[in-house]
Amino acid sequence: MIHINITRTQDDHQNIAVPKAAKPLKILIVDDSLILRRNMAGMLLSMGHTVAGEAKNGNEAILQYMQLKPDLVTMDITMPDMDGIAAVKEIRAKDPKANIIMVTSHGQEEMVISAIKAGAKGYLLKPLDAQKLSISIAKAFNDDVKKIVPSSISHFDDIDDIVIPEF
Amino acid sequence: MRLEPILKSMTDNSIAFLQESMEITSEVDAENLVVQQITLNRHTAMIGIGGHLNVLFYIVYEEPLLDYLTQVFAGEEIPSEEYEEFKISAAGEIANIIVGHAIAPLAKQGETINITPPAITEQAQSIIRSKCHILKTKLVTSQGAMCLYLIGSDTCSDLSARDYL
Repeated sequence: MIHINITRTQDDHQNIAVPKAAKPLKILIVDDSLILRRNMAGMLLSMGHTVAGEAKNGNEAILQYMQLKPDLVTMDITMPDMDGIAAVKEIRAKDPKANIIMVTSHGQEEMVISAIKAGAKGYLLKPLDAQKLSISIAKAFNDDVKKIVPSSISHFDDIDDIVIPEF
Repeated sequence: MRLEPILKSMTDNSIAFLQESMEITSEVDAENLVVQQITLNRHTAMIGIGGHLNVLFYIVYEEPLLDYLTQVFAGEEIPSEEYEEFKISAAGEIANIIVGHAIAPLAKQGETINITPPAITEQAQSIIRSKCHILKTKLVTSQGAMCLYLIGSDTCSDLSARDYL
């Protein structure tokens, strides 16, 4: 094991209580970054969800989605081989009820809008934290949430303006 | 677009990210230096930035700092057999987050600025560009330094961010 003199934990790092899921979900994590996949997995597990699988690119995501049939997919946008938007299109073509949340860096709002149009149910901005993740998941499964598409960077900043598609 | 405001945005967002997400204070040691050469350590992160910016962005981490950032980012003990992959992943993802935040205010209205997935160097090497505009800013922390570089690729016909997009 690697030991570096750091004493705080992930939860200390975020300085918030990890919200518990009302309904445990089976979730597929798609990201080319190992460290973000592990971050995400740790948060989901601590919320009471199950990690169905992990994929490193869009092609793997499609294969794993068809095998695992998860309740939800967290999908990075910028990935090698096949990006997140193309993967959303493919998955939604195979399963129009697929629940997918995009995970993105700031500044990629046009790409998020493309993903929403392709059928994604919301987005989550990096860096990740458990609070934002919990809200995004809850909103992705809440059909009563007002449907909003981000139209500006300031709008995109606000996690309360999570996107629910109406296409 | 001039490189200085782009690098300033990268610098400001790097300092904010280190403070807010990694809880480590950083200070600018040298800012907007014009250099002819970039010495790339192992684990240097490179991202191509498109749109009207069209630049290449590098973060060269000192190893102790990258070790620290990897550990904090992971938030858990890292198995030794996976440590190298975690480190590569952290180097790239930190660059990705910084660039994403830094370019948002620089985009023209309605413009999409594509960025490449981060590429990580596997061994030390140098880039020497006698005719290019290369800017450097150095940030220092208690765990080591990191240098931010921008190459303005409009002036380098053989090296363009668009080639990577």
